[in-house]
Amino acid sequence: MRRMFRSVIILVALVVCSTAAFAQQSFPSKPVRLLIPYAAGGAVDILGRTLGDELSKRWGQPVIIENRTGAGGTIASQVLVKSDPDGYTLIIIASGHAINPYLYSHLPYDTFKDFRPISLLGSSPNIMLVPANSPHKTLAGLLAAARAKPGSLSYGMSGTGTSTHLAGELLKYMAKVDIVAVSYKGGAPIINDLLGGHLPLSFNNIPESIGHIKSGSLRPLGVTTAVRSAVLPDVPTIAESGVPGYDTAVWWGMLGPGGLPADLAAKISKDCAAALHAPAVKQRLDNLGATVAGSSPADFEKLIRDDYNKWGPIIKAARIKGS
Amino acid sequence: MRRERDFQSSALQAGKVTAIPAPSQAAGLKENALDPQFLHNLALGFGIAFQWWNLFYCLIGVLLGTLIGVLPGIGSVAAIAMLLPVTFGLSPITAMIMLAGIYYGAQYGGSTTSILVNIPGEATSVATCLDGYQMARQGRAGPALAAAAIGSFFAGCVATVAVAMFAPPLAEVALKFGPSEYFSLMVFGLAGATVLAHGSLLKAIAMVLLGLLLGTIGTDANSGVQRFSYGIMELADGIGFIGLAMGLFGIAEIVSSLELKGSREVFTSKIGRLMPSREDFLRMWKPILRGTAFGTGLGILPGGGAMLASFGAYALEKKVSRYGHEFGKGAIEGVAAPESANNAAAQASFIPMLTLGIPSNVVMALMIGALMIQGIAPGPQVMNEMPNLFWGLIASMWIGNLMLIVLNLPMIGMWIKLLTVPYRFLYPSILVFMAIGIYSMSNSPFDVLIMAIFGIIGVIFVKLECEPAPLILGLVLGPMMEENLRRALMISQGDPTVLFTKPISAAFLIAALILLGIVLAPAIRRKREEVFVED
Repeated sequence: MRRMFRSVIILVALVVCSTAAFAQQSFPSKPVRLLIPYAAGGAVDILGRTLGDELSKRWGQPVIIENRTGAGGTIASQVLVKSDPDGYTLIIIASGHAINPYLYSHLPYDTFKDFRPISLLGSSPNIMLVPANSPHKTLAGLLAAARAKPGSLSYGMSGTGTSTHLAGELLKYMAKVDIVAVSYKGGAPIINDLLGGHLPLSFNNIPESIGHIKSGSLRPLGVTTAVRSAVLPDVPTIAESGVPGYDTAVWWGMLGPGGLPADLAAKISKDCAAALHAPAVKQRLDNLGATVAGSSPADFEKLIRDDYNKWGPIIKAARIKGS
Repeated sequence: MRRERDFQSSALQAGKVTAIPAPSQAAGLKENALDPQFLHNLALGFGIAFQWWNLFYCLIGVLLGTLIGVLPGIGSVAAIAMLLPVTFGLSPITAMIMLAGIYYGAQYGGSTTSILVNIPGEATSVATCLDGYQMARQGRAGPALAAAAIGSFFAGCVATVAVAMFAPPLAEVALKFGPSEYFSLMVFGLAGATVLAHGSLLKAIAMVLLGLLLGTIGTDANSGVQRFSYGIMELADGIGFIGLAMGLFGIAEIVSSLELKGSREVFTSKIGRLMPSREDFLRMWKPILRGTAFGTGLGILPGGGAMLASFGAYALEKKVSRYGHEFGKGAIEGVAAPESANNAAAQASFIPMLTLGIPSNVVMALMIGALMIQGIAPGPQVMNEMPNLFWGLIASMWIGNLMLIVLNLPMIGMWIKLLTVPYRFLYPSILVFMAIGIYSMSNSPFDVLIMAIFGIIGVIFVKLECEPAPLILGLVLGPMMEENLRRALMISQGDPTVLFTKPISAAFLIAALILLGIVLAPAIRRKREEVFVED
């Protein structure tokens, strides 16, 4: 009897172990939920839908996109943190994730402990724009004008704590100029106000502005990354135009809940990298002006930490208040 | 350092000379209108739109759109987002034709629930509820639905002509609207909200103010500080408008009609005629014309343009119509005008997207996303470099509008039969659909809760005879008004005179004053009359 009991235990243990191992080998065996913290139609949403489409082909299981918008992406992150760490609930976050602790003092989760980084998916430079008829022909000229009359210039950015806001604040911090941040809801109305001559300066994402740059209705003063953008090779970087060391981009990455096993995270990370470099996917994301990545979980974790450390003093200097 | 700067400056200037071929996009594009080239372009467009697969996807789009519009709460945004991966396999023009069909199809369908059960599916169909539902209660749901469909059809066709002929100059007008102009437009819109009041003017103003207050909930745009969210993350972006509107109109209506046993019977037994009578046609053609003009004009403005258009058209009719006293009690003008306006606005909202690459609402942003995935960067060059895309889409809108009216007129009979379904089946299923719809907006149970809470508040409003429409206008316009005012002041370095020195802005502020004068004067006069017991 006792022996039988023991053998049952062993049997059960074997079954449990094998299904656990099996689960990781055969992941996924049911639909995967991919949370998108931003509205349908935005860059993150399109990235998620493009990647999700490819992943579901590779996995043989549907990847269901769920837009949970609001509060700078923190609502979707909260949903992820509360879900089972089995790999069936994942999220795509943007670079704002790393700085949300500064913006929201009552975050319902810990930005580091409650998440398992999976992969950096892609990144894109932002771009500094002036209207075509602006007197400012170069970044250096603009900075000189801003220094001559502090507070006289204002720049448009697409919401508190967004990558365009941070790009502007980084410029103010590094170049020591006083330019007023004007908050908009997204990049499109900024372009409208630049074209209409209502706004002298802005930071925008490249995809929404490239058409106007090519047609000549908006003039780019510089890209925000350390290297020039592949889609706009003639536009100098801000770093090479008089603010050495200036480097910031918007990036997107995938996270799982904190308890997600490391080997499962590694598997999903590999699958994401493969899916991202599938020719059709890469082509579509290139069209959006994004540089496709696909990093290891460890590299992605380091990026989030580095960003968190980098932005602390700048956000403090900009006096962006949290809740 | 200085030499470097000079070098870069001259290098950029040199680059600029070659980079800017046309000094102004408007000048370059205007050539398209009203010349043989225009007819040629139109022929090109119809040639593309009449290709059988484009016709097929257009039909799919308008069918889906109608269905989405009819289901309360499920908006065109969710549907288009879900269909985005489907469009990867289509050519850009076919994708656009289908997505556009969903969008304007939903505008058609949205009026159905407003009229039959007093549930506005979208912000733009709130004004339709006011008289459409009253008509349905009087057994005139058929003429109301027909008025909505005919008004939408006419407006859709005319606005598409406007898009085809005047898109570039109209887009230039939209560009003239900066933060100060928007602020003044919103002030004008709010002044107009008081015209909407059927009963007490004081109550209407109170409701506008309540709406403005509710609109302050959420994250402060400039500092990132949370206002009145009490630590609830879901409130960080403010109260969702759709949930609030469905609660205030839909749930409140269901609850309060449960109270009135007698009149419920009357509602179902009187069905009446399906089509509008000769008199109805005579009464509605002018409102349709005015609504179309209103919608085309305001539709090009991003944000609240389409909603202001439908409310504005309603308010205008109420003032100019001989039947002004019937408004709120089932006047057919009160259906025809806002429905024409919102459909015209839906077509006109394509103008900034097609000519400038600037989306005027979320649906347009999604369509731009679909184009970008296909490798087409939105911007002023699209119209010149890809005429087949622009003209093919325009031509498809006419075809789509025709499909919609052919689809919708025969369906009126079917919708009306829905009213004969006993309430014990109809109401629970409406509630379920509303809950599913609102949940699907952002997969959030919180939105369902908001709808329920505002349902209760709505019942209280019914008891107090306070109308929810001015509140909704306040809630939607308030945050935009605040944002634009603050933007205007930040750009002007705190100088408030920009609001009066910019001509468009000043004109709207003066118009708002005049409007308030017109509205208040009769109210004051009436008060005096009451004193002298003349009424």
